[in-house]
Amino acid sequence: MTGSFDQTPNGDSLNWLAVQYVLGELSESELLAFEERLETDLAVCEAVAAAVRLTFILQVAVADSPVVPAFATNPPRVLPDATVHSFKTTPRGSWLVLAGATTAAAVLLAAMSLGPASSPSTQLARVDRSASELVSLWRTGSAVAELDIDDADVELAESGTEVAVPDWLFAAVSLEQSNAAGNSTDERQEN
Amino acid sequence: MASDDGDPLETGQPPDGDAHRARLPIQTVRELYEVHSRELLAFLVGVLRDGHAADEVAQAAFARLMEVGHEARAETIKGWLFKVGFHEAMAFRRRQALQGKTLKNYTVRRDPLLANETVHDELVRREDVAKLKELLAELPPDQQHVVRQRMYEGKTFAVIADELNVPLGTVLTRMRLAMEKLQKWWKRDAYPT
Repeated sequence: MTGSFDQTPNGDSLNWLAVQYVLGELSESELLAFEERLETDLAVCEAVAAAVRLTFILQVAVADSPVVPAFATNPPRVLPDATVHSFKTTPRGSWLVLAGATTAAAVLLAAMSLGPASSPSTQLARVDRSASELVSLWRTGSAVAELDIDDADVELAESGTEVAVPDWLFAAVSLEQSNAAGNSTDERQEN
Repeated sequence: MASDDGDPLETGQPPDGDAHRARLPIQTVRELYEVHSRELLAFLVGVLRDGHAADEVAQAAFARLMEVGHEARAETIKGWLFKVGFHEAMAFRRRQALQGKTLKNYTVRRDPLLANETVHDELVRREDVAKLKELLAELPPDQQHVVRQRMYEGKTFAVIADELNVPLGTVLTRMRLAMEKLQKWWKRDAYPT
């Protein structure tokens, strides 16, 4: 390798010119002048070869390196007032959402607790009662004895395999519970 | 070249006079190939911007070496080979132009470097990549940023300058400083003369 970034007699830098040539950054006149030198000067040819290899290696190395932001050229921007204002409103909005969700959950739980006491006149009420029975059996430890559980289910439970419950099932159960709570309230009002 | 009757490498004609000497032994050609083929290939990729084309032209250059390489002096054989390669590359460009591919692609706005997998493997050593990653991390962030944007994102220096809102000269200087450091390592450790 004979080329370098040292200044050549005519003021340019051979390796830097070669890099620009390889990257396609020379103007038309610079390009033609550079290619004239390629024909007669081995050092220029070597510089091009080195620039190509360095470029390829750099492309792989850069792709594999963490991104570094240009701190020196991109100072942090001062956010406009409107943006700052929107940041102020965001936490308050999230508190409102949280409070609403808590209230809804409390109402739902209250309705569920009233469910078994209501008349079992509807199919949905029976579903609730079955659930409360299941909880009761589970608390007393007699669930396994009382319930007819398939062997395959026992094996599945013991294997620790995670059972994927589809979202639609959660949605359906929630809807049923909401409806059951609504029915219970209606029945109490009728009574 | 030894002959004064016209360069046989350019004319493609059999040399006259003492040029009737025996061709280079296969073993010599093989050794020259081992020593110079990678660098010649890299050079031709730079000229042609296409790995497949560069590979083809490099093969043609070595074919010429077998035919008339005995005309060249041993001490200048590398320069001879690169000169032949360059002429073959120019001839390749002209053929491409005749086939409808405009010369403008080569002379005004050059396409990005293209390397097929074989050529890339030939020119990129894994240990060089590892070393260059270390050196990259040592560069100032503004230089790293320009190198990444140019080499990986493929943006021109003008676009990078525009995005950073700095003069083009600033971006060129950053790139140049980064390349100087990397090239110094290249010269000192990777491919010392």
